[in-house]
Amino acid sequence: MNTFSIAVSDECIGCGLCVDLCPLDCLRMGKDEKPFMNYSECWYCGACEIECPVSCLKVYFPFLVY
Amino acid sequence: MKLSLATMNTDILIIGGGCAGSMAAIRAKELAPDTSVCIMEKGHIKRSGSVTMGMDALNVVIVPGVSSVSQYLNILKRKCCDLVDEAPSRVLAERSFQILKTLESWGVFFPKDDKGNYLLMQVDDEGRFCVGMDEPDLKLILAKKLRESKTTVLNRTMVTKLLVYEDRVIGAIGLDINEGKLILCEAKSIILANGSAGRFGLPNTGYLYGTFDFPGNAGDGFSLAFRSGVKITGMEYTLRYPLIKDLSIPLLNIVLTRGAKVINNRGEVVADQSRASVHRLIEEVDKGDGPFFIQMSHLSKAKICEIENVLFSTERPMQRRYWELKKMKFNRDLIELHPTEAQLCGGHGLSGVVINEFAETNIRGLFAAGDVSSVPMQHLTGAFVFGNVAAESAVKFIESAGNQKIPEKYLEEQFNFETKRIIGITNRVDNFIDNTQYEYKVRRVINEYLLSPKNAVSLNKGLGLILELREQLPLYLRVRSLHELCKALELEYILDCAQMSAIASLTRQESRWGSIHKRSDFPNTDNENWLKHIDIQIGEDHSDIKVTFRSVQKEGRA
Ligand SMILES: Cc1cc2nc3c(=O)[nH]c(=O)nc-3n(C[C@H](O)[C@H](O)[C@H](O)COP(=O)(O)OP(=O)(O)OC[C@H]3O[C@@H](n4cnc5c(N)ncnc54)[C@H](O)[C@@H]3O)c2cc1C
Ligand code: SF4
Ligand code: SF4
Repeated sequence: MNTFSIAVSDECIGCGLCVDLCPLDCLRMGKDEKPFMNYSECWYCGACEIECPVSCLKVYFPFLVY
Repeated sequence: MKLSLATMNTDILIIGGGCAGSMAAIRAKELAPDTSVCIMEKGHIKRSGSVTMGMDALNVVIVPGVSSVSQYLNILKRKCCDLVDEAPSRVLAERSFQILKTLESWGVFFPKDDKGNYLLMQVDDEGRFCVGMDEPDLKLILAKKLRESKTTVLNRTMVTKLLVYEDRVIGAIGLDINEGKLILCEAKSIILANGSAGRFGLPNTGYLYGTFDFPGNAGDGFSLAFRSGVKITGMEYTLRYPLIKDLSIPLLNIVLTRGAKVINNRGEVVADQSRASVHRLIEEVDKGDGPFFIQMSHLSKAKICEIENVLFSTERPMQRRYWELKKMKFNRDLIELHPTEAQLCGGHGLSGVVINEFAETNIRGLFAAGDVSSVPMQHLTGAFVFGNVAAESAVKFIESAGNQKIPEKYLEEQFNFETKRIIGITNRVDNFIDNTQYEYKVRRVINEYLLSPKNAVSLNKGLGLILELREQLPLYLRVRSLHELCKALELEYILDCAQMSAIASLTRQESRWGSIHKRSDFPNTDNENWLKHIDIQIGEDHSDIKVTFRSVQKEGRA
């Protein structure tokens, strides 16, 4: 269980927009062509989530179990 | 890690593409369409900076018939304990309504009541200068304007050095963090718009990026300016805000202006619509009357709905999820407030690059706007107004100043020097402390020694530790990727800000601004000796810092 991360559902089309737009350069594309949080330096600004064209990404909070 | 090199030139280079930088570019292109304008932005222009989507209000607007410039100046002076230069703040106030109108004409939504009046809110003990702005697409509107203006935007490009020759700025060096490319950019004029020192003190959660201010701004602007000989002021103004505990997202103004109350541990009301000073709240927390809670159970369903709409749609939409995960409801539960980490900021506080009413710094051709500059409590309005002012001044400067004669090879030498420095940092692959651990250490020192209550012993001790951490940085900090290179550079910026802040706090031998600068060894405010600015400038190197005093400029324009 990850307490601080993003959750990406299967609908992800691997466009990479979220990675490009994260102002803190936290995200990277994985080998599975889905983004993951490579650097947990997130401000939970939500830019990745609102930019996702298929609304498949969710941002969570540090120290808050989900 | 391999770095490549590139060169370019532009008439105006803007560093930072937040609201101030974007506005400056749009204005410069409007005034002089043939001028080449380039923005270097560390993140991505579309979402980077303090504003990700929009903001709920423009905090400083003098609406004709409602308030006046002199009223604003008087209240501002009171809030800043008189340490305000009048001219820049006057320009801010005078141009504030025009900025609102310009934004409105671009499609930014400012709600109005049935009579056609803007939504005005009082966000402090006095004065109604805050205008509601219900616009989640503020950033997108700016980005569109920017595209139309044909500004060149280099995203993911972090400026690492300003180049100055004989007190005139001649260019800057940027690092493309995606490509690993160092770019020498010759420029006739530069506008510094890269924000505050958001990652300064350590948040109470210990989570490094859980800050109030945008954590992409590690004090880059203050540090770049400082290293190139620019005067920085107000670094003793170590500001904390009462925000949501563990989240550090603002909501206080939004809820207080809509009828919420803040209660202390005895259930007594300590803040409401008529008494909303955030600084006084912090003082009360420091007195030990906390924890403090926001109470909204008495509000109508409609009010709660309105609050949720503003909080969850315009500013930080993530907030909704936070409350859901916490299983908390505004109409039922108390929300705990807590002072945020300390920050240094020219938007919320009064720290930053010294500018005059033309956004000029002490280096010719270098202008500053927004949170990086010290125009006290200018907020978002300041970013827009001084974005405009800086652009106007930069355009004028390149028209009138003529070309600077730079000795042959000077730029090349500077570029070589910076390239060597950066490559040196990339060679630290075998060091053993990662940037997160290192930053935690630095910011813990800031919390323990450099914040109120301050005294000479603790400040000196803190300063010593900061200098030590600077010396140890090359020996211990591990750098294995471009991302970590960027973090290594940011750590230096944080250390610079800590050093400047310690020196300024040591210098100001009095207490001022309540809990912001409280010296236990000089507990009183001493207007006779200390009603002046403390400016900091680099000397030969970091160990040779010049401190100068500047009297408060009262009236008229410089
Ligand atoms: C959470 C929050 C809520 C706020 N709410 C309000 C409000 O309701 N009303 C109001 O009036 N004001 C509000 N403010 C204040 C207001 O948002 C800021 O004063 C304003 O946005 C500052 O704009 P700026 O362009 O100066 O800085 P920023 O928007 O922070 O932009 C700085 C930019 O510089 C970039 N940068 C940093 N370092 C470098 C570098 N080395 N090289 C290249 N680029 C770099 C950053 O990535 C960033 O994009 C709020 C601020 C915050 C943080
Ligand atoms: S919430 Fe913001 S900072 Fe966090 S990963 Fe998404 S875009 Fe990046
Ligand atoms: S923006 Fe959405 S669809 Fe595109 S890569 Fe990111 S998560 Fe996948």
